[in-house]
Amino acid sequence: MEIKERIDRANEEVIQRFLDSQPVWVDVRKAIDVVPGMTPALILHSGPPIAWERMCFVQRESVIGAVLFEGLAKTPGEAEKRVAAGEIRLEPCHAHAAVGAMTGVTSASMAVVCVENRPFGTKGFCKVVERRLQFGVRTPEALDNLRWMAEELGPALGQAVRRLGGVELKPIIAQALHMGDECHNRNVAATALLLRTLAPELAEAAGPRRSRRILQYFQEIDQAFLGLAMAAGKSMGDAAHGVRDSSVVTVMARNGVEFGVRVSGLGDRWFTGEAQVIDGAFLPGFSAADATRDIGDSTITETIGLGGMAMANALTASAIAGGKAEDAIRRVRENMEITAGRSRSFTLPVLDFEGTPVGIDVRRVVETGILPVLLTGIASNKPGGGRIGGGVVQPPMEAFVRAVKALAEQVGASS
Amino acid sequence: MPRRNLVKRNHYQDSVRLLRIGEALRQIPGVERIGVVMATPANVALLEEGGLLTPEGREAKPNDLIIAVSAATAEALSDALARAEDLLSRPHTPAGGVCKTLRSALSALPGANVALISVPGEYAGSEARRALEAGLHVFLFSDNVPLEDEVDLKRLARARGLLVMGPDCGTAFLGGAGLGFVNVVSKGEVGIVAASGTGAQAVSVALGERGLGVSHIIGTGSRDASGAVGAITLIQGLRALGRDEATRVIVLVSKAPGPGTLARLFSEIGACPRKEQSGACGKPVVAYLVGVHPGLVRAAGAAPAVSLGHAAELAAHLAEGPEERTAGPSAWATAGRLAGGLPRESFLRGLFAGGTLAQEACAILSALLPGLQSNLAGPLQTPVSGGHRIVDLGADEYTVGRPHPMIDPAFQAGRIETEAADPRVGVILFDVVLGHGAHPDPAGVLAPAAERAMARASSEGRRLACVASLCGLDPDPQGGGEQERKLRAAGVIVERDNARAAAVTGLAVAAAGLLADGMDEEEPLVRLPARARVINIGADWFADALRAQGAAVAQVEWRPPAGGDPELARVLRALG
Repeated sequence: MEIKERIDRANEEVIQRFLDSQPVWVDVRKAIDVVPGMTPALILHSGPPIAWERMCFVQRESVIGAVLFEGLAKTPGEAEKRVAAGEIRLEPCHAHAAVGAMTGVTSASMAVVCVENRPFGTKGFCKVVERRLQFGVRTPEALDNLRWMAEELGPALGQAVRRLGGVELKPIIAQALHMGDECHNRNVAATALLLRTLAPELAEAAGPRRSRRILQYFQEIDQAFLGLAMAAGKSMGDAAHGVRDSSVVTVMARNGVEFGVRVSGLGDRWFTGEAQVIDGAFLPGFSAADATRDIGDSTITETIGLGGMAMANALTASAIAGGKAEDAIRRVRENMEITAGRSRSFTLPVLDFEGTPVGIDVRRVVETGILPVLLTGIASNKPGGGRIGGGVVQPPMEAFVRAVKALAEQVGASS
Repeated sequence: MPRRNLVKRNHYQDSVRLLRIGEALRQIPGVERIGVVMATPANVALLEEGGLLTPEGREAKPNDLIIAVSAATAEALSDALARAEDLLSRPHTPAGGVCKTLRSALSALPGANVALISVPGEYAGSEARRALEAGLHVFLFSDNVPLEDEVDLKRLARARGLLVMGPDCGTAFLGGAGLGFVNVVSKGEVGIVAASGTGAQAVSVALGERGLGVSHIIGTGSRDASGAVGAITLIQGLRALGRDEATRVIVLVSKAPGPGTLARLFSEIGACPRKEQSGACGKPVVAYLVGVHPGLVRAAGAAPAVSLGHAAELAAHLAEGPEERTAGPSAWATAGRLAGGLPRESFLRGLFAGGTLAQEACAILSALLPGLQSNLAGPLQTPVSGGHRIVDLGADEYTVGRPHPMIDPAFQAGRIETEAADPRVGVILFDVVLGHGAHPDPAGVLAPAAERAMARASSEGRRLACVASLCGLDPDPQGGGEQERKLRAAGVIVERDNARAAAVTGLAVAAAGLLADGMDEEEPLVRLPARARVINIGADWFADALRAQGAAVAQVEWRPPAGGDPELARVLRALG
């Protein structure tokens, strides 16, 4: 069979796997109990593999915070020394069926949501979303919060979910997309829908004493659903990965220093380029000078047809990011030029309910020069800064060029 | 209550669009019930329940679209169906701007049938290839397209029954829309196929001035008639216009095609030796072929034009007047019979007593036979090499100490037998000139020589044909009819017109090559679109011109692939 045909057929298979996926939220547990390969002295981070010395400031802060949280060191100085010495290992979340938002730092005792992709049996884990440690804030308050999430929030949520027999995530996402969410940078509708689904069982599981604080979590963290969207994305990406000769992207992830892409037909390899500066809107008092570069595993959402792929839905979010409605639509149209398929579950009302573009084809990216449009939050690069804004970013072309060259070599097209 | 199902195969549309179409149809007076749905099992069941399904609808598959209508009258029914077709075929410019690739343009313009490509030459080939693979005809305005690309593209197109008009093609008119540089012509009965853009324009303007219109203008690009390309598009165009119902007369415009190509081209116009039926075209053809002797054009069955304006004049005459062929197809019938026994490469030797006859034959034959030598410009170099040759035996170098061949054909007869000794000679052409002052019985000398020559060849297991160009009248002293009879009895083919004699001979030798090559008859039919729906890849003024004509267009905002990196672009082409 001709090369082009082989690749196209493989891509059809990958798209079909995306379409057939049924991610279900099944539990909330401590990482050590469920994340494959998790150990007490292992710390996971977002993005492609990176050495401690090269890590960006906020991600290092998160790591130090996690080390302290786990009780592996008593002071930040000691934490740094132990990590630098290699006594505490650092690996990408992605290597452990997991994803993490922003710095993505996940350690053994932290609460993670567990998602299962029912037809394929693949899993996705994501640390429960919060607004401190994942932005590099490692104050005592931040660590206390982590503790509370692991001891109280997590177990209550887990119990509620188990009582429900699991919560199907595609229907919630599909509905949220029609309510102004794109499920990467804007999840407020999805979070509200989620709470509605959980409410009776959650009330029961939490009990009168603990309910207040647990429900306040949902009030405070608009982005709560993001963790589930990401875990769902991971479980779907992993199901679609490993189709021989496919040129479709199954992972996009960044660590503030590098942007990495993985391709279904190209095995375990990461194809990287420089993480980009985010073009966005800042909270009052902040500017680009205060910003970390593109960071987080949340671009797994664009991989499955959400986020930037659906931004034509979230016109208010686009406006906040500084664009006009027609820009959002144009950007989705451009994303359609570089994807191999369309979603059936995720549709765009403003485009007459067309399916969102899904399955980025590295060949099309390099050929047309059109890079996928991604939506993201912006993290401060100063201690304790937290989230300072949100906006639009694109991956480096270099990552896709490398992937294309590797694919050419693999299929024998490069001589 | 009349009802009907219209099924569109493999025609996915999203459900909201279908709902809107359904609503629009319900407004039509007389329409009772409507179902516009994808033929999924659930939808088909609904239609069945609603009494809207017909046998056609039952055949539909889930990827097909069903438009099911029941109406009070047959008229309302057909109104509804016509409106449905119209609504479905409307191009929707994607909200938020232009398409960036052919792929998205194809979904924005359903039923696209032509791609208009004006991107730089080094990229044009792969854009054209993709358009062909998507089933579109290609109008290739781009120049600097490598020759190999042109040949590959045209072979691919031919295998799919599609046209590649170009490269460097400036003018076409297809499906009611002018592509590129066109004048405002009206739709009419004259079809033009041209390897020259301004040539096509000039003919169409001249027709317009006479109040005549054009059915299609198929531009082929200026290189199409070259030996390397082999007139692929010219021939496809002739065949397509020959089959096109709207076309009654065909005008062919090109500069002199290469020898093999010329024969191929003419075989489309007249009866080709290989075809059973006479006349591939079956329609009158006017040919303006610059540099080709009009006698050859005429003998081959087309009306020769001496200028672009003249081509239009002839076409007008043929379109308005009684349909008459301007020259019989018998040149081909004769040439065909001759060609039958000839090997692929055989040589022609022409032996002439009359200098002007030699000149006319030479002018005609040099268009058909590569490397034709003659002594018309000066004595032949000795020793004479092989190949096609015409010799004027009345030239000085042959008449020293010898009577002129018109007076004594003995030398000419001797030369016939000499040439016949060369095993690679397949045809010998000689003239027989009658009248006062000429030999009393030239055929009496030449016919036996020809007979001996042919017999000798036969005994050596090869075929040799002899053609006589007989210049004379029955009342001449020698008796034209009697001379012809003698020659025929000896097995010589006789033509009474010198240009025809040369044409028959030249076409036979050229056609022998064609027969051996196996000109393919089985290529898919080219379907000329009734209404052009164009995807424009490149400069947007082409799209503006099309919209001004009311044609449906989708514009692709093109960028060089891989940001202009040639190595990467090459890798991408390999990956598809």
